[in-house]
Amino acid sequence: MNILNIAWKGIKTDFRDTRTLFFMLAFPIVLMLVLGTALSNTFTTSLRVDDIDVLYKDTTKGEYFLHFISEAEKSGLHFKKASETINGEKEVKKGTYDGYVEVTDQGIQLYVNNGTSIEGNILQGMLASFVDQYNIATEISKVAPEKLASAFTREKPADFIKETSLLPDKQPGSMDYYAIVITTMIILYGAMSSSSLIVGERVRKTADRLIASPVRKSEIFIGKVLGSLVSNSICILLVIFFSKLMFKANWGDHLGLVFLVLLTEVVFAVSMGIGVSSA
Amino acid sequence: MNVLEINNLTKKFADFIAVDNMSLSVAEGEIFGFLGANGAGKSTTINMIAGLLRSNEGTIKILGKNSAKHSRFAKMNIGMVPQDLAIYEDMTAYENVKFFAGLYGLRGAELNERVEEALEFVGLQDKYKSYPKGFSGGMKRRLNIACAIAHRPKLIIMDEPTVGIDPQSRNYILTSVRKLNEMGCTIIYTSHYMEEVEEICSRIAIIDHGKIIAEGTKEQLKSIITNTKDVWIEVKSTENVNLESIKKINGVEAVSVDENFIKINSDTGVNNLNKIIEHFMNSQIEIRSLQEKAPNLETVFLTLTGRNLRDQ
Repeated sequence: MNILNIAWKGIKTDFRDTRTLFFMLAFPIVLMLVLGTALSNTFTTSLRVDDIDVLYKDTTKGEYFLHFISEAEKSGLHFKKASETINGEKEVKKGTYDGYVEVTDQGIQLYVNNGTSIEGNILQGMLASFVDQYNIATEISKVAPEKLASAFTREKPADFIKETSLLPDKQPGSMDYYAIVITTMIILYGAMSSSSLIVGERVRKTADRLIASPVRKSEIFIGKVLGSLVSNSICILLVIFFSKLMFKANWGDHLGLVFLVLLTEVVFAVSMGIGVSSA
Repeated sequence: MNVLEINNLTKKFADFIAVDNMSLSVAEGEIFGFLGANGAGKSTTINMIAGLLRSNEGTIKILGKNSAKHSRFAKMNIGMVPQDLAIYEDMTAYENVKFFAGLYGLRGAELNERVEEALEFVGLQDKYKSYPKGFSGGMKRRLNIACAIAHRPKLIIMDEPTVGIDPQSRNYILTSVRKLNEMGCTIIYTSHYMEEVEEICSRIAIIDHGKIIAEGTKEQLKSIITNTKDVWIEVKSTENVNLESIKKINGVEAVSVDENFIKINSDTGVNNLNKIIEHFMNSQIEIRSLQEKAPNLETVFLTLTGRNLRDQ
């Protein structure tokens, strides 16, 4: 009973302390809101790219590039053949087109406004792939020309890399990320308040009065630790529910288990605080 | 019946002997005064009685039971009023008393009743919802007492309960001590204020260097020094006063300085007043007043220890 008496006193005074309430409740919630909102773009994995308009000039006699164009247009790229009078480079500079491709017998030249833009990268990647394919063809024709046809008649390109995603639709958002990170951080903050559990009694001189009462030292210790564990756990529970209900943070489908894991961290933090203070 | 019995109690801190083979007993209904300078062993003795420290040798019996063997029984019957305020500033006066009284096994209606009784006793019944942060020094001291008496202990240990408070609060506390005693509590009282001890204590022990050097009622203690008298000389400045040369005057037994007073304890059989005055005149020290006092506890303490209680 004395243990509960001491623990209850600790819980009551913890929740009266505005500093505790600020650091254990208001601070994590505000931090979650600020970081979760400000850095939400960092956590977006999908990227929207508009249609890409490409101007091209093909001075070769083959139809290989036209095949490439017909395939590329399926992916939202729009190719327009440049007339003799148009300066492709200037058109790209003006922003009329996203890129300008010159296909000659000497090779392919690509002009884009910004080499690091998403559109420029896509165009560059597709052309590189096209060029690589025909470089391979050139090499095959040198070594085994009879197999050249079979190299291009495969119905589907071979898949050499297989990518599997466990939950492809559930990517953590910034709020999900910061909810768990800040909650974990706040739990560790609990070590600070627990470090003054025993020392605080000595400083306030109330330790003597506690020891002079018919209560065992072990009861005082357990009561103090229990009070701190409960206070910290209540704060964490409130932070979790607040982030879940107000910020829609995703804590998964097994909240009870998540809380139990966090509870072990609370035990660790409180023990660490007491350990450090008595060292 | 003795509420407290101490036999051959010794406490050492490394090579330093804080309490040296001390023995004493306090009977039921007494207000027992502990007098001693800082470091005399007073607080160490009190801490051992309250169970805060363990002795190296000797026994302490509370209501006839060895406190080392019946620690819970001893603690249940002791109320400790520590010198330093031992209260929680972030709990109301009521909650403070309730928390500490709850540690003594009181529960429910009985607990609430005792808490109210204790607060009323120290005159804080109107402040039970207030936090000690806003209390005056005297009110905090009274709350400190309330926390120690709510469980109605048989023995109350008060360690300097009137330190640093206004005269009104001091009077209130002294009256409370008397009331507690009338209600049947035995009290051990320590104070630096000799007049307080003289006023309320029925028996007094003077401790010096961990030993009891005198013990008895104030009359018994004063009788130790009936052959001496006190001469208090008020001077303009104590700067040039040479205590050692005053001590050399025939019949002078002890000399001390208290603010602008030179307190001289002298043998009643020797007429040395003219020599004392002559000494001051030769030293060119201006005398403002001169009084001859009947011996009091302070004189006893000074004579026995050679020191003033508040010198250290």
